[in-house]
Amino acid sequence: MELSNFSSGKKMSREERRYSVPHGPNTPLPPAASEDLHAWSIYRQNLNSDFTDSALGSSDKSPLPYGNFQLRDTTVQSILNHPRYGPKSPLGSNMYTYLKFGLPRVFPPNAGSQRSHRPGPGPGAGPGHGHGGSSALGGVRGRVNRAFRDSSGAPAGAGSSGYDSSDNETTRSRVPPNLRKYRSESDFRAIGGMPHSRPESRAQIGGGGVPMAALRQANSRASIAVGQHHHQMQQHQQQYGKHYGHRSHSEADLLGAGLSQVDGGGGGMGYDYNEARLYGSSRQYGNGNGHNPGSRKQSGMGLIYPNIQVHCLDVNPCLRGVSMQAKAGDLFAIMATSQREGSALAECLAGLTERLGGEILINGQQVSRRGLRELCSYVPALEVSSLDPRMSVQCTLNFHAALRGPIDRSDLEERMDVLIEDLGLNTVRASNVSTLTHSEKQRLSVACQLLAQSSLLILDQVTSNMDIFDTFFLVEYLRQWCSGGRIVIMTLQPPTFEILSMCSGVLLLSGGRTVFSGSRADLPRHMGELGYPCPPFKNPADYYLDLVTLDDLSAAAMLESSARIESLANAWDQINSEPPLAAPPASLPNFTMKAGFFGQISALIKRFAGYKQPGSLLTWISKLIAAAVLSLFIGCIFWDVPASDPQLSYHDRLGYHHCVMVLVYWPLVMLTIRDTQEDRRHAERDIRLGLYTRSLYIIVQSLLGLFPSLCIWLAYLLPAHSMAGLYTYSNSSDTGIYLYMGYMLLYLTLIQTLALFCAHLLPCKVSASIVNGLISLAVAAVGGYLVHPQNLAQFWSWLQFVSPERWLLPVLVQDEYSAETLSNSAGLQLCRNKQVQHQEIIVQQPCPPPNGTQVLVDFELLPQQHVLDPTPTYDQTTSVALVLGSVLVFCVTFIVFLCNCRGACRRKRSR
Amino acid sequence: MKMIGSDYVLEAHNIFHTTEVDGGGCFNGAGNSALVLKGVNLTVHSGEVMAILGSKGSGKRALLDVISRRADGATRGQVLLNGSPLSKALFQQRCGYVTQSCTFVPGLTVAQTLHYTPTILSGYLKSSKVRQVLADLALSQVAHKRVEYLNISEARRLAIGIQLVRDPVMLLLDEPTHGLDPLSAYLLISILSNTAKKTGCGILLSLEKPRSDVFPFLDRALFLCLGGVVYSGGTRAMLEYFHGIGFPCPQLENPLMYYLCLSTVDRRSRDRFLESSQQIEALVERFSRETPISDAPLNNMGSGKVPLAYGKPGELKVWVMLYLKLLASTFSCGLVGMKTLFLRLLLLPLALSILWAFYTDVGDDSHGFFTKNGMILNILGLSYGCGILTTISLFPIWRKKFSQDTPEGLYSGTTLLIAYNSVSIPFSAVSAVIASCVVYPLLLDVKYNNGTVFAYLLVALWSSFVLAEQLTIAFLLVVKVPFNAAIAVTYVLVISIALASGTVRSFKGLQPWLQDNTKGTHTRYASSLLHSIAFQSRKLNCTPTASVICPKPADFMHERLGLPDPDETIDVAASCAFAVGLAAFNMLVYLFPMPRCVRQKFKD
Repeated sequence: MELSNFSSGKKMSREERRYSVPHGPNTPLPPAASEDLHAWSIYRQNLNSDFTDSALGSSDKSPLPYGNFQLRDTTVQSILNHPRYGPKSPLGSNMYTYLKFGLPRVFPPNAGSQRSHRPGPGPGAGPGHGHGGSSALGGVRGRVNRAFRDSSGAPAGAGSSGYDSSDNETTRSRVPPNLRKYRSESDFRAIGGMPHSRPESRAQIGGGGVPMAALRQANSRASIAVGQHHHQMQQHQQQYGKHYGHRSHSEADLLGAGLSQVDGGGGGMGYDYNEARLYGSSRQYGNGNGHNPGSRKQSGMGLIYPNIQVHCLDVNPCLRGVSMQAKAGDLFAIMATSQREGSALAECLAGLTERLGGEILINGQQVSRRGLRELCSYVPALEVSSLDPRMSVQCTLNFHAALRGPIDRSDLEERMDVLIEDLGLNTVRASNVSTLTHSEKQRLSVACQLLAQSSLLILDQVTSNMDIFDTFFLVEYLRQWCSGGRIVIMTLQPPTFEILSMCSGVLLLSGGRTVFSGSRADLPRHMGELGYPCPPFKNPADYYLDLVTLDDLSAAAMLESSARIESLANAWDQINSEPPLAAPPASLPNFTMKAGFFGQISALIKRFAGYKQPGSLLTWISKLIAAAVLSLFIGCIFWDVPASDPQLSYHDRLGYHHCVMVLVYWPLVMLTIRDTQEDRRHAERDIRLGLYTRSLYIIVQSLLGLFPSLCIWLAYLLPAHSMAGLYTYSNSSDTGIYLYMGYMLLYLTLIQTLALFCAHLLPCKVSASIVNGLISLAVAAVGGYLVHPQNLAQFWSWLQFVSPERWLLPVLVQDEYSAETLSNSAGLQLCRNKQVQHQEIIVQQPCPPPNGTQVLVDFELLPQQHVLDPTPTYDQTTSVALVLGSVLVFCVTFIVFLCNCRGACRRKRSR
Repeated sequence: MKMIGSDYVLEAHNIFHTTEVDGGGCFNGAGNSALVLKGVNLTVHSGEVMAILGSKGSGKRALLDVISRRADGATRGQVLLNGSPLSKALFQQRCGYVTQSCTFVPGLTVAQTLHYTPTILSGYLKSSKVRQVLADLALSQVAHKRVEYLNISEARRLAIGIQLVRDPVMLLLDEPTHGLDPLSAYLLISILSNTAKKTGCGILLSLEKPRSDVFPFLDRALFLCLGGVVYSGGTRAMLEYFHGIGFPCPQLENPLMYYLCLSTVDRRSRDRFLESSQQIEALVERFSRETPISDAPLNNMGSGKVPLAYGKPGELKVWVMLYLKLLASTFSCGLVGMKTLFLRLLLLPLALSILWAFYTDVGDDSHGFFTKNGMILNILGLSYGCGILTTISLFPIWRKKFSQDTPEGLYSGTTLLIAYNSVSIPFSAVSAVIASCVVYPLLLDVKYNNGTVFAYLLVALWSSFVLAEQLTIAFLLVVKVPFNAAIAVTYVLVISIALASGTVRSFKGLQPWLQDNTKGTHTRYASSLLHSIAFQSRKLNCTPTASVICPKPADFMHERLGLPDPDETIDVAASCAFAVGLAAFNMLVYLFPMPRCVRQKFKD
């Protein structure tokens, strides 16, 4: 009698839900439009059913969901002509096209249940409606396996094949009906036995309580099943060779270590101790409110450590009230209709973004964002942040291991080798990342985070754009990884049911709300109870994701799908209105060890010096050759300037210095800007993952880049200067060239620091070059060559104090125009005959040396006219000024680099 | 059986294809060869949608390339269209190929992009066709939206529309749903299915991860594994075939994905790899055994039929379309249009106006001569720089479209460059006129206007701009990243300025062999024009005193350029000859087919 009451209540609920689905409670519609939309929806579902049947090629037509329903012409016209719900495009002129575009991709609630009534090809239907489907599916699966084995001719006990998991699924699915039935009856009788309940509220309480109890029961069964499965895997692995035996031993050691830590966890880290105790006291109060000791004991039996519980999580900008639970051994799949929602949840769980509300418990303790970053390993999508293409696979792993690794680093090398071999990267160990395929890059990205040996691994979009069997490989590997007492949470859209079967838990998100969260095996049952069983020949992951996708292809489809999503999300909210019991507090899992200040510096230096070779070395050599060739060209053009200008009338000495200081270095500066922005693009990924800090990166990068760039500038200066011959006639020829090189290297370092500043200031290479060009043009215009100092406008006099060319040009030309140098060079020249008529007598005069001081006076290049220091120590002042200028520009670059992070965060928040 | 006039059949019989595995780079010799297609047979009728399914490396793209006659390497077998061998020219005229990359000209709207596609139709017929294609692809609501604001779903549909406007009888698509979200993928496949049935166009598309909801729209399926055919035929018969050979599809699996897994080598472990390889070999062998290979075409009517080809749009028509596309992109009212107009018209005048900050009130004494020398250096540098900047901002998108349109055979590189220069050279001339008005008062006295001198200044600025532009276009032929091309052009031009401009190294000071080499650069003639304008073309205003020295212009120019009185006519002719000659050289170079390494680089 009680069972019949419960059954009748269920039917009543189902019938009521059927009528309310087409229009949600929050969208009141006019009566006429409502009726027309309802008819429209029915018609489209009929069309979809008929279309699918014809596509599948089945000879016998399945009965249409609503019989032979046809739209009236008046209904069609009213829908098409409605100003709000009619088509807003020229597609409306073609009614058939509009109907085709508006085809629903999901079946209505009752059509699915009717479809499941069909007799399956298996050995006969089981008892009752709910069990028929699973029995039929089991029969079908059994037949699949039998046929496959017969056709392949392999013995039944042979090695594993691609469909072993299907066999496990069949075995697992046959056990639950009896257990579930028994548990349901017991729960119902217990609830019915409460004396204070009234008859009307008894049915309601019963209806609400059964899913809760079923969920708890399902979790318990899942735990037991996982344990059994693990046991089977252990036995299975021992049958294989020595390698598997070794791995089995290592896994046993890890399990033993985990257990011992759990046992001795009382004196562990006191992280958030007060909050945990407060939560515990709240649970104590809840316990005293009437829960019986048997229930608590059973709940305790189902808990496995480590575990993570998320309740009512709000993440900006698109997630609201997300809840989920996962425990050791769980491979938890987040299926979101929008990639942004899945990524937002994954980033929040990894501690990369701040949450607005809700709570995250790990082992029963509240964890802050910083704690999440230290506890979790996060694998981003390759499209978002790519690995450095210039490093090899081994060097990438070494780099990540140096920056973030487990606390125990004794067998790090061996573990790295095992990871490389297990993930199939052994053949490309020494290859550059740029030559890897997409799947190999993805596996390398996963391996970098697996090195940290953290208990919680979060992966975001790792299987998108991946081959189907690479997806199989990676998901199966992650399942084996988490079976050793870890948790794996990944955003995933399983392309096959087999991959869906590998996931133990599923979270279905739509519009930022939770539609389903729990064990993967409960997903079809939950959807079936709501009236949406999975139709045949559809991947359940595909179908349920389409079920909760907001269909914006047409106005009517938008209305229908939004109402459906609203009802599904509300149904889940009703089922899980009570927060689940928090797990008893236990010690937190091991934190990952993060490199400190000197560790980060050491890793960055090693990457610069060793990990990027030989690509980085080849790039540097090519820049060196470009600089040297450029220098040779300049040397040929300015070949032996003193010999070609003995009378100081051509100003070619000044032209040479201006050419070297302002004109010809432009290709090298543009190469510097390009390489700086390229390197920064890869560093932003590491900084975002928290491997090292921004300030440390910019300092180490600039300091380590100094010596290679000095070599390039030396190659740029030395050939040109030697060929120009400006110091071959000087008295201080042995030391003059070194002084010249020193001054010019300081000057070019300042120029390069300015280029780095522009490269970090602007995101685009072209705009950075333009800004650098404008600054250089302004500074060079007052440098003494482009504009004569006496023609310079008074307004620009202040600019001379910040012009490095203005500082350095007097220092460089002093010796070249000195009297001794000019006498030496003039002595080598044949003196031309100068004849002067002196009172009708032709007199041969000696050739006078040219006046260098006159040229310096003319161009305001005398030491007394130096803009910074008119005293005789102007050369030392110039050196100090160049160094201080470089340091000052570097400080501004440092500030710009740090502030860019703020700009990027602001831009992200506004989006 | 008598066929309807609009019915077409695409057949592929016993396709074997060998391609070269990519070697280390351009300078490697012939690399290793690999057999990527092994006896593929397929048939697509009008109005059908056929999906080529397979994992990475199974030969999907190779099959599409063989059918479209784009594949390099040895090919054996027949590809027939209505019984006639499908040649490259026939494919280009009557079929379409949509690749994964969606590159449109920024600044154009969706309707303009379709309208400026070269077709046989013109006038009212073309407008009607464009409107119909917009409606069929659900793009009417975004018809006036600029292509740079489209999302990926709309961009894919527009790429398909560009081929549909040409009314192909067969349309090939390479993974059209790659990167789309499930709803957009569903919309795209449903639109393709509807278009196929409406226009009678056969559609052949490749998919890597088909979802459950696209299964109803596919009429035929072809499963490839390492070039071998596991199944080829109708989707309705697919379930029966696999059921018959012992592989029925489970109820909870998507049939397309389930049989795709069956057709893919399982790489999870070595044992599974060997087992699945043997299984797939057995499946391929079984399918080839159950399907008798017929070399005869299905449709024999084509041999005596009127030829399929009715010609392609003429070269002049294509040029007009390119020209109109360039004009529409330049004058579009949007951010891209404003940027294009600014770069073409105002960049050079704005850059040269910077000189006003430093070069006013320059006298005619020796100091003034020295300062004007620096100004000429800046004028040359800024003109070259503006030419480089304008070209690396505007031309790469057309270079990318050229590399994508070349397999379609619509136009040659010469046609593209003629159209581009037809738009660019008038704009650069107007820009040079404005820039000359900016610079003229700095060099000359405004009170004495001289048209000839103004023309000399105009020629100097314009030829410098165009030379830098054409040199950048030449480098962009082989360099993919525009910034790298800018670095290369800057490298060449700074050496040219140092050598031949006379502003940093006097001509008399050069070595004799270098003096002769300066005659081979454009910079010499442009600099000579600027020096004539600055020093020779007007009356000097200088009074010699004890502290002021008045140099003679002839002596100064003899030092700087080697000529006391240069002939402006020769300089004008030489400057223009360098610019126009380089443009002609570019047209010649763009006409040649690209080497394989360059083509590989531009393929996304």
